[in-house]
Amino acid sequence: MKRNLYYEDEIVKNSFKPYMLKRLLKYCKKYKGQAIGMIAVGVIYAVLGTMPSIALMLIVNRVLPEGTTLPPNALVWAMWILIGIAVAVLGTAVMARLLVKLSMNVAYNIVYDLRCDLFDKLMELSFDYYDSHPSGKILVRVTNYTDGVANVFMNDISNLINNVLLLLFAFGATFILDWRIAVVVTVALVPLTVAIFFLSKALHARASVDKSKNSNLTAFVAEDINGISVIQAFNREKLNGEIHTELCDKYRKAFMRSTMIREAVNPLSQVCSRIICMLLVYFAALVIIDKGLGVPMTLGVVLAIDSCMEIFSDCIGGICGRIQRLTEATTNLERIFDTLDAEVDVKDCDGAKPLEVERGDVLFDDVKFSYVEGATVLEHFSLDVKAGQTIAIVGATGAGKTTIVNLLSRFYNLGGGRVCIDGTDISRVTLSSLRRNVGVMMQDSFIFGMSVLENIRFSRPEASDEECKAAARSVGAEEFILRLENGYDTKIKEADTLSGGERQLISFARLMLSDPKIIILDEATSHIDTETEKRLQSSMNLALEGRTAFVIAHRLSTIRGADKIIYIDNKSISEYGTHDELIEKKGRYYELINSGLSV
Amino acid sequence: MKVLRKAIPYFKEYAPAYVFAIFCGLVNTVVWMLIPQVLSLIVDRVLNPLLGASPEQNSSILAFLIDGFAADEYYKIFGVLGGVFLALMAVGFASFYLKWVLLHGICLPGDFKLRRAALDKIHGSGNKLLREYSSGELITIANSDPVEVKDIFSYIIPFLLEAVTSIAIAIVFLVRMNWVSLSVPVVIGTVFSVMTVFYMRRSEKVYDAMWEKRSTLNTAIQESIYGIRTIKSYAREKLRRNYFDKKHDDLDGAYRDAAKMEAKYEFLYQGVISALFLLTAAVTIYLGVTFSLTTGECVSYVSYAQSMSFKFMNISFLLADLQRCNVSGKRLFAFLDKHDSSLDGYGSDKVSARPNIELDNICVTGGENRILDGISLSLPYGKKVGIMGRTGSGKSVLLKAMQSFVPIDGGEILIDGKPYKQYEKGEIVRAFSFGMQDVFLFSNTIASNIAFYDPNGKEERIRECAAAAEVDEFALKMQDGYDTVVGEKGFGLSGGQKQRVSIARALFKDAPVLVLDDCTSSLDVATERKIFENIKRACGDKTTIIATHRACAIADCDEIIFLENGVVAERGTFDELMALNGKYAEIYRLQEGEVAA
Repeated sequence: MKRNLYYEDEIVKNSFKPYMLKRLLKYCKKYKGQAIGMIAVGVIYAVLGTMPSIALMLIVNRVLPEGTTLPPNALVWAMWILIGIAVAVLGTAVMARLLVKLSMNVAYNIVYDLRCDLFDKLMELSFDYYDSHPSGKILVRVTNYTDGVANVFMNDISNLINNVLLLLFAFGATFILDWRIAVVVTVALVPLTVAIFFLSKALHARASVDKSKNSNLTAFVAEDINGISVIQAFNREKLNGEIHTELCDKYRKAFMRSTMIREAVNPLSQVCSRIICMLLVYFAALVIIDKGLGVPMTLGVVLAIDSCMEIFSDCIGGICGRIQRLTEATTNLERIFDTLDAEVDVKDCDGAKPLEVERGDVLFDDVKFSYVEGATVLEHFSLDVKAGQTIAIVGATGAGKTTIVNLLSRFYNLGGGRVCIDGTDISRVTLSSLRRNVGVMMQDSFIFGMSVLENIRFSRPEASDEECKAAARSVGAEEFILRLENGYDTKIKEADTLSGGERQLISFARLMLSDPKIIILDEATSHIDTETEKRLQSSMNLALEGRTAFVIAHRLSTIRGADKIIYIDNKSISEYGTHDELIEKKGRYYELINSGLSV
Repeated sequence: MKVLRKAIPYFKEYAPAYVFAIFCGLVNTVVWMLIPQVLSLIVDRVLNPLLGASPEQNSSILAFLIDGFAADEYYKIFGVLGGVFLALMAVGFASFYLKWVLLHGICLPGDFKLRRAALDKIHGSGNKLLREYSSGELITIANSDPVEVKDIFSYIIPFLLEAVTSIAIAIVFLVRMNWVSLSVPVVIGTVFSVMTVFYMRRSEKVYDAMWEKRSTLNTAIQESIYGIRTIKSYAREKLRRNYFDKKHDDLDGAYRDAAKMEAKYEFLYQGVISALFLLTAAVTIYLGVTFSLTTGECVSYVSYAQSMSFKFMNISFLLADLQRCNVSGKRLFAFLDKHDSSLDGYGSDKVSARPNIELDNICVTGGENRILDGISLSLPYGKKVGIMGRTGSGKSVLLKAMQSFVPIDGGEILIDGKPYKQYEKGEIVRAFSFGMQDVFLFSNTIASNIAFYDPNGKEERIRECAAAAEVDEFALKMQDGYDTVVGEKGFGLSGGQKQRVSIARALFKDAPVLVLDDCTSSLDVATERKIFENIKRACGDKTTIIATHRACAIADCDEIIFLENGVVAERGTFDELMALNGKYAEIYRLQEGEVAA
């Protein structure tokens, strides 16, 4: 996968297609009741929203004087109108609250699920994805973009439904009042609809660019904050500030390009709809009345139409505004679905069964592997490890030592051959069962922003405090832990609170606690001092006893005790044997030892 | 308002254009307020008479436009009024569009200035201050909070002004019609003012909680991204998901609290608006039946009264929005104003090209513990010093303290005989090339990572440093060589490869003092030896300080110090320490013994 850098715009595989909306609606399915309720309340709210117009029409027609005389029963009508308004008052307020509540529930439930799916997907995705996407760009997809979708459900969808319903109501009423006016309005709306369609299309393209630029900026800031110590040490503050300004500038330009269109949608729709709904309607009424065309119009009808048209034009403005916001929201959806649809290279195969390790035999059988197509790292790699054996892996940097252990944990898929544990092909077992049986201590184990105790417990959540502390003691970590401000309860806020060696000790305790059948130690003690390592050695030996272990290290003390040592060279094993055998062989291992492999 | 006052300097650059944008907004408001004046004339002077009623005296301020026409010149009157309507629409469109484009165009630079200020503050802050914040909080402060502050200028202030203007205009028109009609706005204004006060009080708490929960979730997600390898290796995706769920639930709860509050006030406002419509209708009926208003005026009256209610409601919501922006602004400016005492008192002196450094009895404390306790070390230019010690003995802290990354709590650091605080802080940092224990590489090419200090550095220089740090050995085997892009934090490279790039990066800086903090731990001794030999050749005359766990790596240093619990347990040349037969000698023999064995 090509690595995306902070300054490169993301390429979204699938631009917005209607099926994405359908897919989003699938999230609604679970909350069908609430969604239907939201629409129903929206309908009632829309109907109640017409009350002012109806009331005004009735006041003009039934209460206000015609010339110098009051219409018959004017005061009775006035009383009924006021009672009607009072009832509608309460109804509108109740519906408004219900509508907001329901929209909120639908929106937050959907976005909650969407965010959980995104997080699950992140947990599922292979390392390749993380290697190729800046963390800031992943972060905004889970947080900011989902917030954008929530806003759509919170405000836009219910508003859109409300506006469409009101529009239909106003149009229906106009049609009943005078169909000629309704036809005039419909015809006049065609050019506006076409204009909005094209503006939305252009807006989508431009909004997509400004989203990418914003994402680039976030990626840069996130990386900058995480690499702050390097930035300060290399006096890069000013330069990074300049890069930030440059990225801001690119974002500003892209944003302004989309603003030029975004901000045209609202006034255009409002102005056009008002010209159509007010001026044109009045002119049509004038012509109809003056020329005596067809059925004559009354002032009440004209005012009622005027009132309907006011709603009509507001709705058109509202609908266009929502279309503009929905258009922009689609760019969020594209990116969310892009992550949800990202291919997971390493996953459970169909019918995968949990791995049960009884002995701990490991077999690499003619394994072939490459990270990038065409650049093979391992080829014809075969290794048969008996249960309980410790295998030390040595070789030059980049020879593929870490790759071998990565393949045993199935962090990557093989390009050929197979890896078996107790005779079972690991590609046929569930990943979780495999990884619980294969404990890895990586070169740079991560310490989470939790307490020291919780960090140790990470590998076995059900472990008691005492078990965690025993694990820490077994690797000699307790001494420094107790010196921390709150001992085991010290919260690790930032990674640099601890030294490299201290972090390795916590990670080691974590590994010990997990009690796996097969252990991989990849440069596990590189930052630990010799004295501590010496003390660690005995507990390490104890820990490795009865387990199959793979050890990558530069310290001879760690390597020479191994049952077998393999020397990796030229994509495969070039030497295999015990320390003494390989020394006697006087091959590459011997050369390495002589050049001072260890210490 | 404090936030507003603090934000103004960032947004004042385009003040005249901003005033013009506000003016456009007000023009737009006036235009929309004039529309009912035109429409009521059309009703009273065109449609009503056409339908047989006698033309009524209309209080519209635009009535003068049609004064010269005969009552039955309907088309002409309509033509004039229609023309005015179209002209108003054209002005409305232009002013609306101009307002928004200008506001965005003007306020974005202010937003970016704030973002830059936040980033500069992060860059300029010491470890102590930065540790008070999680990375998620810092990302929110540097990336999201400025947007919220921008919103105060880009829409809250303009909208507030427009709402107030339109209410004022409406009042003027209402007064022109009839004094009694003023009763409605007085009631509307009083009711909404009381409600707004309550709304604002409640919203601040709710939005503050939202800010905090959002930052916490950001941190949780970011940690999951960075720690994905550890998570997967223990198959603890579910555990992490539970952690995420907890933080996610917190944020979801905060969002829902905010929405509930908004729903409650929406209910109250809608209720009040509807109730006010009732009042408006009653007053309209009264004014209509008592012949105080014409039919057209009644239509305008309802329109103005309603619009006034909505404007008052808008003002309330805008003020609640202002609270949200205020919360972000407070957090942002609290960070910007935060005083980092560790940065106090630095002068402006420049560090010489060949500095002599003296650590005199320096102490560093962490909580109640002494991390460094009375360390003295003389570093005349060109001296080679090796530092050893157990994990957590204070090696890294010592190296960071001498570069001013960690403040000292006692003693003195002298550069060329002067206290280090007399120098410009950046100058002190510039005097050191630092190869760190935690290798952080940026997502960029290997070459760019090496040339991090000066991206415009010469290709030759990059290759020279890369060769010295033995980067050549693996980079040239890669498909894209030095143009190979590494992932964030150096993903894609092995530990040893990352360390070599990090050493090359330090060499590239070419500062007078080279500091290497356990940055060859993932390398085999042969490679390490080669690198140190290369360094000796390349930086022969420079001061070099190497912290390591390998005793042989520093054997030829001019002085070796062995730290234990923050104090110097042993010091001397290699021969002296071997003769002393202490800790260093023990470790040396242990390690050498292994090789010999």
